[in-house]
Formats: sequence, C-alpha cells, structure tokens
Amino acid sequence: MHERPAPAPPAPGPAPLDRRLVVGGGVALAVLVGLAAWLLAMAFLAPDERFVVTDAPTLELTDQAGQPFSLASLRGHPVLVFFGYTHCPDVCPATIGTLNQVLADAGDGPRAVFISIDPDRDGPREMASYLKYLPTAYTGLSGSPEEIAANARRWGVKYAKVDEGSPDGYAMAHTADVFLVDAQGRLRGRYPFGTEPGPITAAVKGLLAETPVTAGPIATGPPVSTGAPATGAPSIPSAPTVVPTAAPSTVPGTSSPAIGDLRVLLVSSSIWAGPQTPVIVTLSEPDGTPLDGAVPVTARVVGANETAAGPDVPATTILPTGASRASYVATVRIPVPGWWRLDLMTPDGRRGGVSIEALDPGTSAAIGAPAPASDTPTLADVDGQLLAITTQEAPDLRFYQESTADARAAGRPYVLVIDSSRFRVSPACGRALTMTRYLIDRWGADVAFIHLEPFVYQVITSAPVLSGDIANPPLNRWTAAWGLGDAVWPATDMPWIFVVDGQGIVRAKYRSIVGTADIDVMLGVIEGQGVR
Amino acid sequence: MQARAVAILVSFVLAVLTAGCGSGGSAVASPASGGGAPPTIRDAWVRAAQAGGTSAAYLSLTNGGAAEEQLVGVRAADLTDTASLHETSSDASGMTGMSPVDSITIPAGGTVALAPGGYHIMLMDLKKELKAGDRVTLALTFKQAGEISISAEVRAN
Repeated sequence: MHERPAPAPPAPGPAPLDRRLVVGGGVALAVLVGLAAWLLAMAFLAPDERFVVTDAPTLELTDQAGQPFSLASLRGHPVLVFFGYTHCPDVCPATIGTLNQVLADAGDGPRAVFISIDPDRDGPREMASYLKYLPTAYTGLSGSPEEIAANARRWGVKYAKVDEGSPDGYAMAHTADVFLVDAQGRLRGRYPFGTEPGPITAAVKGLLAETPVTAGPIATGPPVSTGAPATGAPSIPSAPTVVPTAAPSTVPGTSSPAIGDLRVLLVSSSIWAGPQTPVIVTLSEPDGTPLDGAVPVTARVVGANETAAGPDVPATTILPTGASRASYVATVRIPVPGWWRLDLMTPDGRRGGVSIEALDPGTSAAIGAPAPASDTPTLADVDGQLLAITTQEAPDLRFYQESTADARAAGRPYVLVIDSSRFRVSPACGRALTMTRYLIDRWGADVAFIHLEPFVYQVITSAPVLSGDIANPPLNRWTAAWGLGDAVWPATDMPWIFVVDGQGIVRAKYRSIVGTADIDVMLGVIEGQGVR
Repeated sequence: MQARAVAILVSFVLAVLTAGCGSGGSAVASPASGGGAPPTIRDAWVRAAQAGGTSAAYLSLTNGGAAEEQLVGVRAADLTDTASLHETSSDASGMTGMSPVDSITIPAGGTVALAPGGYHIMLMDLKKELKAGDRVTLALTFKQAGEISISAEVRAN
C-alpha cells in the first residue's frame, strides 16, 4: 500500500478506495485487513467507534413522476440506493432481484432508490415504465448528464458507455454496489454486486429495530426524530466489505463541496504527481448553468494551510464534438502524491474548488516527456496471426494496423492501450479495451489506437499460455519500455492507457479504471478540435 | 468410453431431477443433429421485460462429449433481431459492465452456466413484452452440434 501525504482533506466519495484496492492486486488483502479491523473494532471499541457512520451523500434528481426528489424526503425509512440503467439486461435486474427479496423479507418500511446513469436514454417516463414491474417501495431517478455526473460523483459511483457495435446499442459499465442508508440519512453499509440477499436483509432488519418505521406513505416532511441518539451501528450484523470515506457534506443540489461560488465537477480519472498533469473539470454557476467557455479561467493547486503549490495556470476550454458542455483543462504541477485542492478562478473574482488525489507516477512514462522509443507489434509483423499479439476473444482489428513507431513517423497522435483480456491480473483487465473501442468510433480517422498485450506468452495449440506465474507475470519488452512493473505499479497493476500527441509527447496516462470522457477531451485538446 | 457413459448417465439423472422441479424447471433439449454427443441444455429462462426493452436469457450447458464444444451463436427471432452472447464482469472498485463474447467454450465433460452476473444471452429491442409464465423459443448454435432449439420460461427474476 502507498503512504501518501494528505495536504488537503479527502475528497468526494469513496473514489480513493478503488485506487488503493487495486494497487498491487491487494484486493483480497484489503478485504482481509478490513475484516480484521472490523472484528477488532467489534471486540475492543466502544459502540460509538465501531463503525464510522457518516451522512449519506445527497441525491437531488427527478423522480419517475417528473418531480424533484431529494433523498432527505425518505428520512424515517432505511433506504437501499443503487445505480444502473433501464436498458441493463443482466446486472441491474439481478440487483433488483436481490433487493426485491430483501424488501419482501424485511417487511414494510424500507425503500429502494434506483438512479439511472444513462441520461441519454432514461428520463422520468422510462423510469416510470420500468418501475411498473417493481414493488411500490422503489423510486426511479433520472436527470441531465450534468446532474447525474454530479450525484454519481458524490456517491463515488463511476460509469461509462461501452460500445455494443451499433449507434444506439451501447451498454453502460457502472459501479453496481448497493448502498444502505439509515432512517436518519446516514450511510450504514455498502454491498458489492453479487451480495446475497441474506446479509443485506439482516442489516436492514437491524436498522428497523433501532429505528421503528411508520408504515404507510413515503414521508415527505422534515427528518423524523427517532429520539434515540446515534450510537454507531452495533446492530449491523454483516460487515460491508468497503466502508466509504466520508463524503464532504454538501449543500443539497451542489455538485461538489461548496468552495467558492463556482461549482466544479472533476472529469479526470487519473491525476499524477509530477511536473505536469492535465486535470479536466466542468464548471457551472451556483444555479447549475454551465460556464460556456467564454470566460477565461485560471487554475491553482492548493495544499495544506491554503498554500499554493505552484503558479496559477490558464485553463484551456474545450467543447468536444457532440459534448453538451465545455470542459476546462488545466495542466498543473503537483509536487507530491496525495490529496490536494484544485481552485478555478475567473477574472471577475469568482472561484470554485475540488479535491483531487494525485497518484505516484513511479517510473511510468512521464507526462510532458517524449514517449519511449519503443515499437509495438502489428498484424503485419505476425503475418496475420492475431493470437500472437492479442488475447481478445473477438479482436477489433483496428487496434493492430499501426505501431507506435508508425504513428510517430506519420506525426499521428496515438492512444496506447496496455491491457489483456485473457491474463486478468486485476478484475479491471479487458475493460480498457472495451471502453476504448467506443473512442475509436469517434476518433479513429485522426488518431491511431494501438492495443498492446502486457505479458510474455506463447501460443500453444491455439491457446495463449502465460510464460510465467500469473501472480508475478513477465512484462514483455514493449510494455516494460513504458516504465511499468516497478515497485509502485507492479506488473499486476493493469490496464494502462497512454495518450501521445503528434509530436510524440506523452500528454495523459491512466491506470486501472478509465472513463471515456477525459480521454475524449484530451484528444480534443491534441487535435485542436473544439478548443475555444 | 466408460467416463463418457457416466457423464451421459449423470446428465440423464440431472435431467430427470430438473424435470421434476415443477415451475422452475424447463424442458431438456434434445439434439437436432450433429456428430458426437450434443450438449445438454437445462434450466433455460428469460427475464420478464417490457416491449422495446432489454432482457437476458440464462441456462446451463453440459458437454457430455469427449471433445470441447462451443456455443457460437443464438437467435430468438420471435423476440428480437439482436440476440448476442455477453459476459458481465466486475472490477475491484465495484464497476461492473459487460462485453460481447464470440463464443462460450464448454470443456469436454464440463458444465458452463449462463447465470446473472456472468455469461448471458442479451436480448435487445424486444419486439414484445415478456410476461412471467410465458414461454419463448431460443435457437442456440454450437460449433460441433449445430443448431438446437429450446423452450425457455419467462420469469420475473
């Protein structure tokens, strides 16, 4: 695990957890450590300290009737909160099946809230139609892309479009955990996708026992006073595997901690300590009106005691083709890994801020420096023997036409995706490839997309076989050239994506989970498309 | 040869058990054609969904043969023009998504389950509402055994 200084307080939601958990493939370890810590806490600590109970993040969206909805309106009821989309064929219905069981077993009182992270297809009408099939305890929420992004971020929920091969046929990848909120609006549990109904039912019953719920219509008044002081969560019988970091308390309806008078939404999925890292945000007025990019914005990285980490830098404004609002890209210097605050300022004195976590780059190819002078194998290099250069089951041939050297020689920007569908050293493996296919459709004419398998393997009787131990997989020379496989980011930390411009300079890099939105913006910056 | 006979016997016993399960069970498909021992398909069901919506079909495949078999395609012409094989997977952060797969391999003597949260048959743009209790037809294409049609029950979950 990485020790990181904390120049600024932790930021929205549980986002840091996923980064830490994935580091070094330490998921199981983290779970074990968490479980051990929880058991210790149960044994030795006073009730108040057994479980860090924090207020649940706010939810401010539109319900299936088209009315404004606030999670606070469900005070007095335990609430199961999850994110999904109505076109979801497998994951969301499976979660709903689990929750239906929980609701049936726990009796009257609990509520369930389903938030769509597919704003392009789901509105109140779609949610209402979907809810016809569900018990009345459900509320279905939708909102504009900005509203959904802001709400999801507060909950540490990520999502991205995944290409399904047809213009409208996309799917969504998304955080599929179920959150449990108690009758006082506090976050009391988080259950990964696939959790059986039993533990969730037991936790809900525990909450019902500590706070009797009046059956009947959904409470819409002020928070119900239970008379009982907050006493931690001694009655929750199952330890959630992940206890989220406290989300900063927010003013209802705001998209980020209220710092200054501009609302800031962070788009970047990987931010790096070092001489330069691009940080992408969107900005809006307090009433939600997006800043259209006409106003110049400067950025400043702020550490502990309000100390600026470097000079103010101008942010580039960009409106990628098809995007509904402008993004601001600030290339900043962050001295050391850890939590910082990014302040955005306009000439007329308005200001907004957002907490950002800078990752330790280790020896990975530096942003702002020339990309490693390493080639990558193409289809032509292996006489069309696809299996020699990709373990994808249904390879997308567009990834194997051009090498990094070809792109560099042609002065073409490229996106290098280092990922393996077959040798899944982390559960994120294969995902970067799936996500990137969506970007090829948008940028394939101007930008080379190159897939590189990270590991040395042999093809034995038509099957790829790793040349070594999956716990310590051997990186091939092309991957090693990018500085991966060090103590900070070992070979088991996959996938990676590097974005390189037409001059061969590394402009962005991403590890583990990658959103398509920030790569899209970076390609816009590199291509000069949509730059204001 | 003996192992294969045992495998077939096991399939048969499971089939009988399944058939006796009542509402939850579904018919065991018989092979249409093809060499070797075609796969046994059990517990096929489709999730209820609205017309125009998206659903998924689940089942289990047992390969009683001595050679590897692959499920390479699926059709559900009454329900949709786009039925496809998908796999759902999650990462450590709880982010869950699905990817299309070309084929699903059933090892010789092995069973592969298409179940919620894993492999599934995705049915997009449904031509009609799928109501619990209805039965629908799925045509599965195998690399060795060719096409096998089965009947699947529509269930709420």
